[in-house]
Amino acid sequence: MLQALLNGVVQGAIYAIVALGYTMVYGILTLINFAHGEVVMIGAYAGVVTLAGLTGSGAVESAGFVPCLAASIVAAMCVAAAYGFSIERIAYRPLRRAPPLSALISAIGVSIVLQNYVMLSQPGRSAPIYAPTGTDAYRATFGGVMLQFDPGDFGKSIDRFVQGLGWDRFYVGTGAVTVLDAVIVVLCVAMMAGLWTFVQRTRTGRSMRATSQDRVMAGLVGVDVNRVISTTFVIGSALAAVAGVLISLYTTQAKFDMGFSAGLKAFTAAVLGGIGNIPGAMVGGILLGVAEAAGIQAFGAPYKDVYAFVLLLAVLILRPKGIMGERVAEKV
Amino acid sequence: MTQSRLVRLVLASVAAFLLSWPFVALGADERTGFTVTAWPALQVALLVVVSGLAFWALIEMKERWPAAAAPLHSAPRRAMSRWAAPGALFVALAVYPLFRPPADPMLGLVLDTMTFATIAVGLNITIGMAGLLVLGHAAFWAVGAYTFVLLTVHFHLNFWIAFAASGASAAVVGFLIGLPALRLRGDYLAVVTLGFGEAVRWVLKNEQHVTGGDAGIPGSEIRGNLWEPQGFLGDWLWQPGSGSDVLRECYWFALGLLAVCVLCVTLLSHSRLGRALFALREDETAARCMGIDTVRIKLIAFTSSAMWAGLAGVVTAEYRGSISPDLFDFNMSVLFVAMVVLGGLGSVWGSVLGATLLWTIPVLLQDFFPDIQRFRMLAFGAVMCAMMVVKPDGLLGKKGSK
Repeated sequence: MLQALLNGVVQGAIYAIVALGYTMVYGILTLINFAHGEVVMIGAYAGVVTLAGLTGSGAVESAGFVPCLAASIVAAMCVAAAYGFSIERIAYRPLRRAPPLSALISAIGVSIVLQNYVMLSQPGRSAPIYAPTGTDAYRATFGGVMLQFDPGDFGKSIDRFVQGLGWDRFYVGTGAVTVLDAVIVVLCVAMMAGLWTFVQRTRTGRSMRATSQDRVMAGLVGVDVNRVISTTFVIGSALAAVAGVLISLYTTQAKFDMGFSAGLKAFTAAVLGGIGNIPGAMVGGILLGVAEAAGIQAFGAPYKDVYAFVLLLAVLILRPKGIMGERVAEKV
Repeated sequence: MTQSRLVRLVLASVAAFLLSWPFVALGADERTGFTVTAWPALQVALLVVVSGLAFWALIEMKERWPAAAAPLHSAPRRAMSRWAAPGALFVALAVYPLFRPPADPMLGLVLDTMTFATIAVGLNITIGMAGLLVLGHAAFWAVGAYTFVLLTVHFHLNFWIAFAASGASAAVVGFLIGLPALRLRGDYLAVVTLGFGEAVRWVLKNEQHVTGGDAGIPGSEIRGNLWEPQGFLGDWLWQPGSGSDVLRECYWFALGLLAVCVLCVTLLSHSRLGRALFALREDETAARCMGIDTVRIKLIAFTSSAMWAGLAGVVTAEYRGSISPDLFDFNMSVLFVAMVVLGGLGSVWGSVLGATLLWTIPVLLQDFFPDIQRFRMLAFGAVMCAMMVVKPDGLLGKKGSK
């Protein structure tokens, strides 16, 4: 029971990191960045490719696992930030004055393009796994290649990482916590705190808050709105990349469709905590992770992905502003 | 102006090339380190440049010849001529099977297209007219198909009763999912319907004793179970699919359903209710101020749109003979949205055109490019994005009144 709770907290911390990106973009553009989950996936790929490459070229042997992991996280952040920036430029900026429906459809289009682009361009090393049912034509259409970075090999590097630190797990009461779990939770809290400080204390952060309150007025008093929005996307995507690398370490695989469920869960977390609110994203993420673990304990694993949806529906009906959100009047 | 746009295009291609490099050209291997493959990288560069040039040409065209970008039918026409072209199309589609061999795959293709066109036209009520984005429309399709198969296989109900029940059950589910939607803004609604679509698929997969899990409803795979005339009216009331030529009968049935759907939705869009829906799309607050009961018309939009998907599910089940949950996945929901968006939000014939283009072209090209099915979803996503940026009204869309 305690073990399930701990797992829920770790899972929730990952949701929380992704949710930070949703919340920031929503706070400024009032747009759900549907492609955010795909940026997570891009980050995971960039990180895993770098890490596997560094392992193969012997850098891990000579420099140790931790610096290499840090390097691959940085590489992932750079790539994902570039993607976030480009997505905003290509798909969202031309539609800023268009009706919200247009921007939303464009966002979904971007998300699908990215998902399929990675699926097509990164050939898997393991054999393709097809859906067990359906006609041949259906399989040919939607089966797709499921890419797995061989969990065996990759699991070994994580084991090496854990052994390198000299201690593999410690105990909280009767629940075991791996080092990776601790790293995830600590990183989550650190990033939330860092982002909060950035938004509250720096000049750019102040411009961001001004833009989110009133975009036109902020422009009139000299804030470069386009620049602020680009910055938001860059920061949110870099955070998403960290989450992506952590997810692939946690589940020992990177898959082209991992962004879909990560995005849906993180969005739920953001709404649960109060969308547009940075500490709220973290509270919502951890709550969602715990609730999901509790749901699996109570009703079993087959409906794992449904609990988050039920929770989202309940929050939207009962308390649409979320736990820490403020009610925002509809602007006319 | 033109010059700078070209320069920006080149810069963008270079940026896209650099961005895509880690994914296309760079492989990694735990044993050998990074591996670089040059050819796919060049392919991507080529693809980016070609699509960029196409994009540029589109924008240029839009500026040089505004008429080309204008809606195709803007002038009001007389009632006679308004129904002439659709009537001719209907007759042509109706006699088409007579000129083809009985089990022709082309008939199956046209049948599928007509089914998807029915769903897209129905979806147009919520997305195109009312402006409510639904991302889980395949779920309503699934509800209709599963209701039909369950009622026919387990309760041996007559086709027409099961048909009506499928439409009704999809409509009820649409109504229920519409209830929380009343309080939600557009983007929340999209996520809720997306989650709903996934939840329905999980239920179909997990409730093995009723739905048969991944394999589909037990007993439905025996072909005769769906196609034999059943029920107390079964012997003398014609049922599509029960005769000797299943494919053609299903074809005509699908055509009939599409015709009724197009007729109903066209009449709806010209009616008072349709105008109210368009007003809701343009500005909900203003619509409410004008005395439009937004709660009522939102529910009507949801219910009717779900009903058409449910009825189309009957055609799918009857034609295929068996169904399984994976048919109704998120990709199909996206496909339906792409059809509506490509054809034009709020345009009935646009949805039909969108369904035709997005479903038939990949299948027809399959003989020449065997790989094309793998690139379909990529193209659908790109279509959705590009249409919104370049021509938000779609191919046949009317300019929204601002």
